[in-house]
Amino acid sequence: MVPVLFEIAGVPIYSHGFFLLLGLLTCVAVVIWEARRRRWPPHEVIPIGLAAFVGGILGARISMLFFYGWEAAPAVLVQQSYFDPSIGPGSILGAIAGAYLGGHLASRSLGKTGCTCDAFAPALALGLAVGRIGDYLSAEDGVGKASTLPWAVPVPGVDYLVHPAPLYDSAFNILWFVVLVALRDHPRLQDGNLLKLAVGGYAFFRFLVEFVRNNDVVAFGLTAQQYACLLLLAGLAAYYGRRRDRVLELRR
Amino acid sequence: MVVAFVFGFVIAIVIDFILSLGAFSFQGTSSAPGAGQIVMSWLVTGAAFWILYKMHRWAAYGMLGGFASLFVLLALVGGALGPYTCFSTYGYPPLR
Repeated sequence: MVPVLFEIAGVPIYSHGFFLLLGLLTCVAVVIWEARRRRWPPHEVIPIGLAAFVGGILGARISMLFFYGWEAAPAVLVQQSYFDPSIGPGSILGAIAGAYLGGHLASRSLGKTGCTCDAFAPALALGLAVGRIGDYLSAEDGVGKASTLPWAVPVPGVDYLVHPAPLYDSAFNILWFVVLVALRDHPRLQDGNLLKLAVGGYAFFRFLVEFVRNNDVVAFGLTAQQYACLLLLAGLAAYYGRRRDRVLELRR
Repeated sequence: MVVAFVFGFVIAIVIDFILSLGAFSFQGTSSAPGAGQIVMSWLVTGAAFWILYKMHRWAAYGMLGGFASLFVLLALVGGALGPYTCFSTYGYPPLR
């Protein structure tokens, strides 16, 4: 593990915060690149992007109530705490849900009925791939469960090897980024479908990787994060179910 | 459009500054806000956003930009300068 990446004039730069910031910058850069390619006008990208960002900030923190219970309330309710680096931004699952909702509301405020948000899909995957490197280097949550696999890694504080779970996440997201870029012009993956695929794919992977992470099991052998993934997947299934019913109705 | 955006941006910074003053003390330790302060801070922020949105949509977007900038500067850049993770300090989260 490498908790401190480097120093600038004696000031230590910590790996988690560095890669979190780099992940966000990567995300913004990919959104700009993809928005230009899609000829998405700046007067739509800017408000939708900002609303998604602020929605992500709120969602990341509010979701901590779901994951940690009422103990997390001060970090959720006190507005000033959102800017306090010692608390941290919160959960990526909550950030994704909040960003989706924020972007959707801004899109509606601009009078758009369809979804132009597919530019966010590859950005989400690549940003996550970069950010997870910081989780690994900082040994966040003890990295993963005990493992005897050849690629298991040592972590400070324990005398056994563990799954490098953040690196699994990172590797999946690099692969997922390549898949999303390859599929981004598919006619059936327009109008918000690419972003829904990106979110659904990550939720499915995250559900699986949770089995080797150190989050607490809350009920029936599953963690709160796994229940959040199931909620996200159920929401997507309900959306596509309703849409299919509407299409079938129109055909009749 | 640009003027409205900048106006909203400045309003976000001013609101954050006023809220920070509420939690400031000369003893160097910020006092934990009470329930009334917490409710008021969200009401003021929400009302300001609503008024800006009604005045000019881009003023509200500017306010979002202000909060996004504060978050990047204070929480993310600040986060790189300390041993902080997603919701804890380094290692196992203290909340558990």
